[in-house]
Amino acid sequence: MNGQVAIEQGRQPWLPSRDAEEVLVLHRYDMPLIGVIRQDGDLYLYRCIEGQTEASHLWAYSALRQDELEVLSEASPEAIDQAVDAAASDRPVVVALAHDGTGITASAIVAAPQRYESLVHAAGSVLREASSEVDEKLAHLVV
Amino acid sequence: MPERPSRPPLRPDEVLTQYGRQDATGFRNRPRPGVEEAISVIVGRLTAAEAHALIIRRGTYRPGFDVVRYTTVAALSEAGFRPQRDPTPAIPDHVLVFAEGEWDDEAADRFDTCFGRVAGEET
Repeated sequence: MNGQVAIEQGRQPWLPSRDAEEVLVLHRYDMPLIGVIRQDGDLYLYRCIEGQTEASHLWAYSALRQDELEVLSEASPEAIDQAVDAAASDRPVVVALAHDGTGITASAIVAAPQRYESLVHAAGSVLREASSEVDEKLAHLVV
Repeated sequence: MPERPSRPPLRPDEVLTQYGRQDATGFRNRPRPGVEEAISVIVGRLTAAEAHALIIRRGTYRPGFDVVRYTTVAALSEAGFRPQRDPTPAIPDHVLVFAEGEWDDEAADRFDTCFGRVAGEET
């Protein structure tokens, strides 16, 4: 298991970089919503955590071990959510905001997701923080 | 990946459920360019609560906001669409609907006319 998933802006969330390969789609409704990708030999679990049928959506990415992939691959329909939670609960998460027309537009790392009420809360917090930092930096450039 | 039980072929009289929302999102009636090539529906007459649980999986079902509408395999086929089973581990009865030709405005209207009334008050 490696570090964090590489995210390229403008990519679709289920293939977030040029070199990402689809390993497994666990859940799809119109677009893929939960699945596993491989990047540079490492596995990552992705899931849409908000906006599953909407034009804007939030996503979460976690590094995944091979044994966890096997558990996910064998999970029954009723056990998938629990298997996803178990595979992703103890490690940093990358969260991303995406839109139908433009793909991924922003991403940030949540170092300790367990400190938040939910991944959606974590995503909201770190993405807002990142956005504020960008706003501040840009403000210094405006004279 | 382990073998999952295969599903029977779709019958013409099979009911299909599409999930939508009673807001600007509504029901999808064409694939989003660059996002998908087909539209999802689920085999069976699911209530809005059942569809929400299968698709959104988390969060709270909102009666009157989370809604469903129904069609049949035959209605879609006769209107120029091709429903085909696409089972996923999360939704074994997941179906993708493809258009036989271009999915343009006329096809989107045709797709909508395949469905009956919107249902969402079931609990």
